[in-house]
Formats: sequence, C-alpha cells, structure tokens
Amino acid sequence: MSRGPARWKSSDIAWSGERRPYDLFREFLFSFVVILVLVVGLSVLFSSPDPPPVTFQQWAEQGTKDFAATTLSEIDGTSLSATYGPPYQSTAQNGSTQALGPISPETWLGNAFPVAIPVDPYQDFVATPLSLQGDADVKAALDVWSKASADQQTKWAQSYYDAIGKGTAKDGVLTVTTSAAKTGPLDTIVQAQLAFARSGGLDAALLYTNSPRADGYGTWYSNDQTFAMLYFGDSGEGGGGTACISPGDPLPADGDCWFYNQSVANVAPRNAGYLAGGTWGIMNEVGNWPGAWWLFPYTSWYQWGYGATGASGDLYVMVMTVLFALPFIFLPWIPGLRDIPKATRVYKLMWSDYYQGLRERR
Amino acid sequence: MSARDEVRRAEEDVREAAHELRTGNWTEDSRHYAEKYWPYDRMLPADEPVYVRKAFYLFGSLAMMSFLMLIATGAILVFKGPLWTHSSSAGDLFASLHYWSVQCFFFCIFVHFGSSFFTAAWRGGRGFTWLFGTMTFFTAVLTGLTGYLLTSNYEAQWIGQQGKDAFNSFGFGWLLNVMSMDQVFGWHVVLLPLGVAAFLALHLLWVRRHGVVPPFPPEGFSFEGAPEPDGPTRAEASSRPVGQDAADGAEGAS
Repeated sequence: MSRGPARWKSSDIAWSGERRPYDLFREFLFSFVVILVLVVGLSVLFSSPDPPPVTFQQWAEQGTKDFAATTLSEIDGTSLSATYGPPYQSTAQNGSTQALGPISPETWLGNAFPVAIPVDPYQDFVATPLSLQGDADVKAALDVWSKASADQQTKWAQSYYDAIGKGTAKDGVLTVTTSAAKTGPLDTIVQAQLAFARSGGLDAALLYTNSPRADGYGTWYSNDQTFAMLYFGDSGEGGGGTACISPGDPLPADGDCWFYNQSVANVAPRNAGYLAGGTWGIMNEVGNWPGAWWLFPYTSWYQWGYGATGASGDLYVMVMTVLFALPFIFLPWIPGLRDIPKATRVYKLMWSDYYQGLRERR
Repeated sequence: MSARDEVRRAEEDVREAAHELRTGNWTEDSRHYAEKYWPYDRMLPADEPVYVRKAFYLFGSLAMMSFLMLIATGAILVFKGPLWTHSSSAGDLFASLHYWSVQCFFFCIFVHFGSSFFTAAWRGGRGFTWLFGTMTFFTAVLTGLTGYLLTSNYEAQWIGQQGKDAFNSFGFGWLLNVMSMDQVFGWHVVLLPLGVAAFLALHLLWVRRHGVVPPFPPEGFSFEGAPEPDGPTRAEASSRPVGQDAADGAEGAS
C-alpha cells in the first residue's frame, strides 16, 4: 500500500457529506479562556471551604465524658477499632467483617495476607503514647492492668463505665467517685490520658508512634493519621450510641458522641451540617459549597434499603456501585440499553438545524 | 457495480493492504497502524462535518481545559505542600482555583456525557471512545475523593474516617489506607492523575480516529457517511433501504 493519505473502513469514517471550516486550536483557546474566567471568578467570589480539623485537645475539653468512655473502650478492647477485624486485625482475632452471602473481600484478603495495617487500640492509642511521658505512677498502673486477668479487667472496666456515667465534667476535668478496689488502675490511666489530650500532647504522640520503625525508634517523619482517625471513630460507641444525633437535633449538653455529632451540628467553625451518611454524607460539604456531588453514583446507595441500615451496608454500596458502573462502561455493546437514545428522540432536538437543512434541500 | 459492492471492495483493499504491511518489525508495523488511523489531517482537523455546530459539542474541550487547569493549579500547590492552603491567602486562592476547576471539570463531563448519550455517540465503531470516556470519569472520581483527603482539614478527617469502611469492605483498604496522608499524597498527585491523563489521551485518540458521530439517518435517508474515497454519492446512498446504515448501531471498535 502506498504511503500518503490513509484509507478508511466504513466504520472508521465519520462523514463524507458536507463539511464546514473549523479550527481546533481556536476552539482550545476559546475553551481555555472560558474555564479560566469561570474558575478565577468563582474562586474570587466564593473562595473554598477550609474548616479546621478536630483535635484530641478539643475532644477532651468539649466532650470530656465521651473521651473518657471511649478511652476506656480502647483499654478494655470493646471499641469499634478493637473489634474491627481486617485490615487492622487478623480474621482469627476478630471476624467482624462485612459479607453479602458468600461475598466478603475483607475476609478473603484478611485470610490471604498478614494484617495489612496492624492496630492494637490499647497499646497504640493509650499505653504507648502515655509511656512517652515517663510518669512512674502511670507506668505502674499500665503494668497492673496488663497483668490482671480478663475477668478482673472486665469487672474494673464495668465499674469505671458506671463511674464515668455518674461523674461530672467541667472545662475538660472529669470528676468521678471511684476506689482502687472497684476500678483498679483505670482511673489513673484514663485521667492521665485525659490530661495528655487536654495538653495537646496526645495529638502529636499518636503521629509519633504511628507506623513504628522496625528498629523500635519513633517515626519522627510520620504523616500517617490512622491511629488518631480510628480513635476519633470510636467516639459515641463508634457512632452507634444513643447520644449520636440526627441533623437538626440539639447537641447533647455533655458533649457525648462528640466526634460524630461534629458532622451533623451546624455550628462554627465547622458548620458541618449534613455530612452524615443518611444525608448523602461525604457528597456534601461544610457550609454552602457544592461539595463532591459527582460522588452520587456511590453515595445514593446509602440513602435507602440495605445500604442505609444493613450491617454490611458498605460492601452492599460498593457492590451496587460496581454493578451499575459496568453496564454504563459497556453500554455500546448492550442491546436494548444502547437503543434508548434513539427511542427518546432527544437527538432530533439536538440536531434540529441539521434535520431542518435536510428537509429544506429535499 | 453497485455502490455497496464498491464499498465492500474498498474495504477489502484496505484489509489487504494492511495485511501486506505487516513487516514483523514492531516499530514499523506500529507506525503504519498509527499512520492509518491517526494521520495529521485527522489529528488536527481544519474542517468538521456540517452538523458539528451546536454548543453542546464544546463541553468535551471545556472538560479537558478544566483538567489542564487542575494540573496547573495542582502543580503550584505541590510546590508549597498541602498545608500552605491554610497558612496564607495565596495558598487559599490556589486551593480555591483548584477546587473550582474540579467543579467545572465534573460539570462539563456530565453535560458531555448527556450529549454523548442522547446522540448515541458510540455508533459506528465508536464503542471504545465511550469506554475510555467513562474510565476517565471513574478515575477522576477517585482522584477527586483523594483530593478531599489531602485538604488536611475537617472534611479530610470526616471523609477519611467514613470512606475507610467502604474501601475496607471491598478490599481496597489493602491497597490504599485513606487515613494516611503519607499514602494519599502520592495517589492524588501522581498515580491517579496519570490514570486520568492516560484514559483521556486514549479517549481523544479515539475521537480523532473515528470522528464525531453523524446524526441518526432521517426518514427517507439511510446513509450519510460513506467510505472514502470511493463511496457512493449521496444520491446513491440515499436510495438504499433504511436500516443499512453502517454508522447506525454499535459495532464495537474496529
């Protein structure tokens, strides 16, 4: 075949009818100017959201009892993070994985690989950060706790949950009535953790101890927030507590379910409003900005049916998203679906001037 | 010889010629392939079919320009690091430019999807053009999501905290820990934008390869797009029975 102008199969060719002059580069320049003006204009007029992050210091001060109860759940191993399962613990240790019938990628991967992101909430969130301070009393209390029998730990923990419930909190200080006989070392540990959080030290310590180096030294360069995020997520019994409110409800006076209520409370400086899952969640944004509306093919499944209430709702949502994405991607090869546009006849409107021209010529 | 026979013969000529050109030299064969499907006059056209004159055709290039804005503003944000946006008004401005570029990008993509759907733009062997476009979108959604994680503010905390369960449930948590900025940074700045750029490039190549989809043949006309260079005249083509249009109905990419 000779070099030169290419020849075309019938399916390759767009059109051999009438053509009109066109300048690709001019279209590019025009499009670029349109976008540039739009983006600069919108940025100058509306800026963009930047709500400050929550901190353990704020949690300790504003939701003192919630922080104490959550810390206790990390210590006695009943928190959401402590019972999560893969990828934070092995399936043998915690089997609480999401599954739809036989479908459970979390279990499969948990069985197939070593723990991907090892998390031991008592050690990682409480004992190791507190040990950094070198306080002898705290160290002794941690030793007493770790050497106690499981039965003893459960009894101490139950007594201390009761004590927190009956206790009072003011300006980040928790006042509880306890005795060493009833709660063992727990008051010492929890009060130390509370004081550490109030000082701002816990925020830094959780980063410093995250992703420990193989040689045992602290990870000074860490920018891994896994421990801190999981700790926050255990607030208000992992978001399932009775004090966790819905949008529009008043905030609990004692700051219970503190982390989750930040997402529905419309108060400064975050004005988070409607970030919870049942209100389109992460598709929304703080304040009045448009948010990640383009996530709707995914977040819409959280709004009704099993995705809104099911124990394996997250897996269901992901499966449904993929199930609906596949026919969208392969639409051109699916009889019936690919014929919808022709049936709707919207194209007649879109190419109205072209069809008009044809009619006039005929 | 009928017009249809001429078309068939022209197609056979092309197939035969392509077969002859298989030299066994990968470089040369690849060049011949590219020369066949992407000659300069298709890559940089100076004319378009007469029906390409509506505003909705512009949204593809508007989306592409939004992507270029994202790359440009994103590069400046990378120079100064993700915390710059909280500490200076210049950082805040570039975060806003990046943010509104995302909004424009997805808005244009959705309009582009709408017009491509209602014109059934996958007809005539343009299936892969659609497929690469949808893959560009889904990769861009992941890029946008990881961008929110990089904002290092309350939204990043909330989305990381909430998003981890979906990622873990589907097994993605083993690949990307959305609560670790150490990991998210590389994904958002390098890996995912490369994916978007790659799918976008393939999408554009296939747009240029097959051209803009012609309108559905109107009643009484059956064939507007004839094979070059020896196809039937419009008069001949329009005398063929309705339903024989090679450009009507998806055939998959050739």
